Amino acid sequence: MKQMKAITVYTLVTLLFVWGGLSVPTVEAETAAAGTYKIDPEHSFVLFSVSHLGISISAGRFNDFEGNIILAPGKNSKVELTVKTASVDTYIEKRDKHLRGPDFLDTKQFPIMRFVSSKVEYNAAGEPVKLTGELFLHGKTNTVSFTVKPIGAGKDPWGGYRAGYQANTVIKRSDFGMKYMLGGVGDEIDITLNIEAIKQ
Amino acid sequence: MNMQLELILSSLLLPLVLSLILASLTGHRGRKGGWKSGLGLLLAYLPSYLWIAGIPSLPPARALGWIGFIGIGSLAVMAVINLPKSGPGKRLIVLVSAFSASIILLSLPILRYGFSLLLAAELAVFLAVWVGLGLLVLQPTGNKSVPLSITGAGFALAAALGGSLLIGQLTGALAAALGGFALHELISRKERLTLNAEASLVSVSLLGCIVLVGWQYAEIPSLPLISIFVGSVAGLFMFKRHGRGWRFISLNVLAMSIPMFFGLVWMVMTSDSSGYY
Repeated sequence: MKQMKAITVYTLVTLLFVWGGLSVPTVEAETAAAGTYKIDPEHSFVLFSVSHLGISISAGRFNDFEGNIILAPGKNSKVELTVKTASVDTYIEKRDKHLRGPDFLDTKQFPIMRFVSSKVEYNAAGEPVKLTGELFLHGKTNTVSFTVKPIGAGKDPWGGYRAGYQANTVIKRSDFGMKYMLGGVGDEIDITLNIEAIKQ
Repeated sequence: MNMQLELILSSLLLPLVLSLILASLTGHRGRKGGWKSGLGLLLAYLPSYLWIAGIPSLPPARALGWIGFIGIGSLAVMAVINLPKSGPGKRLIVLVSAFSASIILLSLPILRYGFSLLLAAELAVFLAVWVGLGLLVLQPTGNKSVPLSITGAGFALAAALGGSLLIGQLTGALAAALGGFALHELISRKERLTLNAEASLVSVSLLGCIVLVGWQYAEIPSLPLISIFVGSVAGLFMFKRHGRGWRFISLNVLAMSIPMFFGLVWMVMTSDSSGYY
């Protein structure tokens, strides 16, 4: 009798938790609603990778950045991202110091890199697929284009609304005046932005 | 071109060969015509500088870009100092003015983004040290090229170990250019054929610029820089005696290298132990 009671209670409690878990709203794969979004730096990543000696790929990220997204298909969409170059992080402090110095990013002279879009292209479903704009880096400004892949959008568990994207591009650091040691560290740099933004 | 070959060519062979050629053409004892050796040193160094750092824009977009222009400007400083009736007071004023302007040009980005009283104090101390070194090389007697070449080599090592191969290369090229003048003097049969005192000012101007950029932008630690400076001052004093011969030179080089050695060892022992580099 006691055993039956215990089993019943156990089953009821388990069903209660399972039902509760199923009730938590999940983010569905849907087209993000138009509006203004603020990039969430805690759930976004600014990543880069570059060839080392032509032998392997070295990678890193920037840890300090902020930005905004205005999604307005057919109207004036805009994406802005500002990154503090001194926040470069390749997991080895000595290399990070080298990257911050005059050999590469020269972060004391150029503390900010910034992207401002001039054009956002959408597909038939109203999702952004290409981003073109001006990238200011190392004292130089060049036009770059990102291919954009929408990841998801929807309500979050805290009552907000979020949208996520992945954007990729390849730049040449020599185009931005970083020409030192091109034989050792590649000229082409793959940039990946994994962005989660919160609707304002 | 192979990276290591490019490094050796740009930082060592090119400036050394050019300086050997130009030293034979421009090396001159005494004050008269000393500007020629200053020009020769600059011409021996500038091709390497442009190869390593790239051709700067006008006006230079980076602090490094000002170094070549400041080097050229040092010829004018040299000419002013070399004017008749140029006493110690006038020399001091000229050096303080010229080096202050150089510090401001090189430090503009830092002053713009991160000015502080501490930074101003640090730059004031650097100015005092730089002017002091300039006054020291303006002493009319003594060999300048050997101690300055050793100093350049010390700074090059400190920069390379401290986090900037670019600064290391630039300083190494200057050391090689000075080394060419030193070598020419040592093997020449003409007595007292020195890098003229005023011409040495060109090398001190260039060295100060590169060290400042390395210290402020590449964050090369201060302690090894101070130890190398101490060695440099010791060397300039020791080489004031008119000795010749390899024994004299070897002993003095060894003596001035001791403080440099300690500074570099400190740097190696306190640096990141990762395998990077």
